[in-house]
Amino acid sequence: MAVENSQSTSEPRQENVVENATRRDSVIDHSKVRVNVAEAARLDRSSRFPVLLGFTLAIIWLLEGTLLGDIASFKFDFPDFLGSQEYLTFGRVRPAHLNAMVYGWASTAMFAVSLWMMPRLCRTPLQWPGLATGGIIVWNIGVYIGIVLLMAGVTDGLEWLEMDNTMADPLLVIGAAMVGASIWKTLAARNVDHLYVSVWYVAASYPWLAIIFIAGNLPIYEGVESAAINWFYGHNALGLWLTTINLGLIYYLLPKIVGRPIYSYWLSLIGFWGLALFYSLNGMHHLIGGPMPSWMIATSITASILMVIPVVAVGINQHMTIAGRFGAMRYSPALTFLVLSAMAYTAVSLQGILTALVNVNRVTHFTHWTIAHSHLGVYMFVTMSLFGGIYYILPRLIGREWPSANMIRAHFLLVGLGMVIYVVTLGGGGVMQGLRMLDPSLPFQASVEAAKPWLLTRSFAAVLISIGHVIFAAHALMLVLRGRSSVPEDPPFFFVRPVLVRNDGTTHQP
Amino acid sequence: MFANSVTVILLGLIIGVPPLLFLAWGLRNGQFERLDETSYSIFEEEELRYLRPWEKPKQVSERMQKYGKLLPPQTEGWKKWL
Repeated sequence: MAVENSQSTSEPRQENVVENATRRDSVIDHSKVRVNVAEAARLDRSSRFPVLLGFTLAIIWLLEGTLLGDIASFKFDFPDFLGSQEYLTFGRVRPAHLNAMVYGWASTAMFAVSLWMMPRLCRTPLQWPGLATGGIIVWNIGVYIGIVLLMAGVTDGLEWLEMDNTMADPLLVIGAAMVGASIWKTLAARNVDHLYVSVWYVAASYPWLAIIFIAGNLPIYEGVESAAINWFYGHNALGLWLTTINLGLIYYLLPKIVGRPIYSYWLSLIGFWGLALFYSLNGMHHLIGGPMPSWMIATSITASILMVIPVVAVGINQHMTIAGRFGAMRYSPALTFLVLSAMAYTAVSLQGILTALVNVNRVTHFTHWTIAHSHLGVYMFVTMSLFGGIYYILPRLIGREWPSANMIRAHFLLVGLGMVIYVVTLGGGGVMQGLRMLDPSLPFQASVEAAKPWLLTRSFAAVLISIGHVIFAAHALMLVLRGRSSVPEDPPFFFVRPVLVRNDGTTHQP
Repeated sequence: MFANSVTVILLGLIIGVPPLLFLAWGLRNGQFERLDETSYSIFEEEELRYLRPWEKPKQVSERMQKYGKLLPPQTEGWKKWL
């Protein structure tokens, strides 16, 4: 031991006090669990199959959901577009788009992301990987059945809960429970005592999803109560499922890529616990002005305003972590997507709080502002985060670099530009639409006319985004099909340090 | 009062109470102690010692002071893409 110490002191290296303290403490102290690259690769291998399966299915859903979204968007500009077939009418295509994106693309990719993160964070191989794989398959069968039924005209008629609650929803519950069981079993088998904040986010997401999804789908509500439960579910699906996994991903990858720990771990905990304790009653602010008991609306508005605390905590923390190092985004596409996503989280949350205020809601309610807002959340925050995660994770699991920096560049510019145009124009158009609806001297048609140019711009943005998605999917396919022994001609760096696998497929040992 | 308000209240409690219990568990088990150390637990061996080309000289110097002699990036490791 003395020899080891003398050897280590011969190196011109100052002791890292924090690191030593970290290694001293914890159940298996961090000196034993601070993994090397080979161990990290071993943990990645334990989750490889379900993660790759999840990403593959998610990307297929991304393309399908995009196509459905484009059709729905163009129907605003050209009402007769594809109107001759019942299954392509707006009332079916629009919910099919929403469900394909939320449950097919985002949720399946989030299963994969969480199955990849948990073994690394818990320093133990993924437990019950077969169950997780089965869960992803069952979930996707459920989504497929649900969307086919939606397009056939079978719907539950509640926003975000349209899929049939006898044929599709039970499969979704079973699938998520199977993946969640693998996640929680991995958590139970962890080799660290202290739970990193991403673990709190990921582990909490699964029981929350189960509770809200089952509660939302119970066929026992009627009338106004059904509306209340609908938005209890709809808003919590965003806040306690889509948000949590992706914040966990950002809290994990942002520090790793930048190469410094999160600015304030304490703030990150405030962000998580604030969300956990304040968020669940936010949803009823969607029903301001409706025939709801006043206490329910007041509680929801209060809870929404309280969300300022965790949102600002997360925003400050993520900004300060990368402050002074924004240049890193030029070197890491994963980081670029994640930073954009983190900024969108702050923006959409503050926008949501603003929208919960009665005076603002009076203008924006029943307008396209809501659509812009939801896309800022589900796309700019959630989808951008998942793109960042996929750019980081896939090369590590496949053992190869992304083939083309140009394709990543095109993907980023198309979806980024497209979504900025989408949110800005549709948000502005929504406000103008709302102001005209409030003006009693104007006919309803005036609000429709006010929104039309912005809807056309939205369709243009949707086309840009769609091209970006096709490039992304083609690039992912190229990555998979590229031979293992092939050496990239001009590797764009996506193996952010540490490099786990060399080009020849052998594990790198520093 | 809304006849079925109990449903919403009950769901709010089902969502909100378990986090309170886990918060209590975390406090009792020292989950919120040694926060700085926990924030470092995500890094792999030597991960923080690698040179980042975007860092300013002062930041490089700080990294060296904290983590020791820096390691060069692997091959074409850090290459601008944007």
